[in-house]
Amino acid sequence: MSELPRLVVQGLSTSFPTEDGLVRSVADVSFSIAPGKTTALVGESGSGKSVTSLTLMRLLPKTANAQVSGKAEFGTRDGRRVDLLQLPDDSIRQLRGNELAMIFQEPMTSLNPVFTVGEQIAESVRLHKKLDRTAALAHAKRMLDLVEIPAAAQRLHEYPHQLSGGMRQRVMIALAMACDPTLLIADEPTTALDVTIQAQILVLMRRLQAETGMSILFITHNLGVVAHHADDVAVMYAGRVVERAAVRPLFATPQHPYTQGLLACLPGKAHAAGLPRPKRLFAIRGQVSSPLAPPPGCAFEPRCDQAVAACTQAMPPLITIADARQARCVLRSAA
Amino acid sequence: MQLPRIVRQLLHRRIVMVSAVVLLAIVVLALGAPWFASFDPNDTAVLDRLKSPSAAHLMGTDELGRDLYARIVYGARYSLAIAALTALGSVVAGTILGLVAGFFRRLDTPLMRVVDAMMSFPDILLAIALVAILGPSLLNVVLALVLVYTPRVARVVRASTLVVRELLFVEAVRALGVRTSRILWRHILPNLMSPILVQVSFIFAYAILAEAGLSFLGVGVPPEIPTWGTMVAGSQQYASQAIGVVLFPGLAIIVTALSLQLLGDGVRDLLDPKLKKTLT
Repeated sequence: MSELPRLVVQGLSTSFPTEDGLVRSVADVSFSIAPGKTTALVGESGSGKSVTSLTLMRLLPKTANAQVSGKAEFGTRDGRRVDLLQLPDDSIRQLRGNELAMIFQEPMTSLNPVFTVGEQIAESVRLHKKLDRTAALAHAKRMLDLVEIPAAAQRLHEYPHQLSGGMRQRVMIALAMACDPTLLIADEPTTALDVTIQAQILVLMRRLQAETGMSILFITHNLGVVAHHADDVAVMYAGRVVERAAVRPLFATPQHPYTQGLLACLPGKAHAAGLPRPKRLFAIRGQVSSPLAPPPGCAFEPRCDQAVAACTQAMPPLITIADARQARCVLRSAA
Repeated sequence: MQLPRIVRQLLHRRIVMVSAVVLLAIVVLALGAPWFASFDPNDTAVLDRLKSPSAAHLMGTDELGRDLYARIVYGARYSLAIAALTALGSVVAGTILGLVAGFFRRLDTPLMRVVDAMMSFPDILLAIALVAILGPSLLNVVLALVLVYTPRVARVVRASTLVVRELLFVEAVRALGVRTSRILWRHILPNLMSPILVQVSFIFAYAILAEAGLSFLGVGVPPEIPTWGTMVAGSQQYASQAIGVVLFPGLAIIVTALSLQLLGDGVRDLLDPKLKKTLT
């Protein structure tokens, strides 16, 4: 089982019917996460990262009438392979919080304001591990210790509003880790935190990953974080994966013009590439095209400096360039 | 803990404190009626009819010589019980309706249109119609008033539910595998407690007034039961001979309703952090 990836997502598409037509938020996304590894999903706002994670967790609101297709094969603790997208509601609910956990971007609002931190962690433990109240609270305290919250025994009985943002994100991680999940989906877990706290949280997550062997799907728009914390990367643009690679080759030799553009936007990166420090930071021109009127060809073509005639013809497929390296660009197929 | 802080803040506000003490006194009087009143509320003494307040009859007597003070103290039992049951009933029903309508969007429109329809009737008219259909009795008055006030609570609870259900923590607990019914009752409902509490205090006050109004109009509690409303209704024609027969029950209604309203205002202000600054 250790050889098999913990999660294999294949051809995942999520569309929402709106009054103005069908919006394809996620289109044909494929990636996989090995046990104990971190796969980062990178992209700007609206590129479909969060919808991907919510689709995998089956947390999209029913009223959105999302149309989901594709496969998401997940290796459970007892060795079965299940398709997260096909599981009945009851079974997915038993996986959630237990084997599949999720942490959210906003630590300020992701805790229930009327319950103490301890009660909230204990609830999940009681639900999935069937512990009684006292045992669950004791477990909650161990979890707070695990995420390095000082004076855990006292914090246990505090309400979320008594904690700082960084502290709350630690609690969220404790909550997610309470039942020892094998896959953690972290949806921009550090975006709302300031940089020093961000670093602490990331170190903590890495430590927990090393200790428990869980896999992490790390969703972010922060390439710096990706460089330090991910093993594999999938870059998303307008709902599609435009490039897939291990983290080192991606940063060393980005293949897709969008990835190249993103990297050029980093002040440190532009400088380190041996070029003179630019006076102005590079910016990718233009804006993401409307999901209601996607360009006929490559979605990035209107903003791409390397666009050729073929780009407007059809959406290029993901082209395998090397082992575990793919890019969705016509320039790579010619090469 | 959050509650003691609120209680402490309430203690600092004089109006709220006074209202609370007055209400407490009324409740104590009502509960201990046999100890506080030396007369039976239904003992008639025709020779002593329509007396002014005196040492024997603190508030005088009514047209049948019944001790007004005893009747008010005993009447408090009925008036408060009706109001309390009304508040309880309409809050329970309104909360369930509002939560379900606010949380399950498919049920929202049908439920809320019914609520709108009920709210489009003038309160007292609807209550009169209901009691007229059901027949005058203590329980039917409560039932009618519950039906009148349920839509108000449902509206408020629905609006608050719509806000709370969009908060991220609801998605977070869903991501922990908590089932929908538990999310609704264990996670969303406690977050609605402050608007619900405020509604309770207001409906309590409204119900006291409404019961008095219904009884006065003759469609409320049967006249032989002493409530403040029936007392005013039964004795109004003797007001010119002894003003006490309408004055004292009227005062009881006003003082109780006012105290409840002020208490409700105080609680609302304290539970709404946005208002807190302007008030302290």
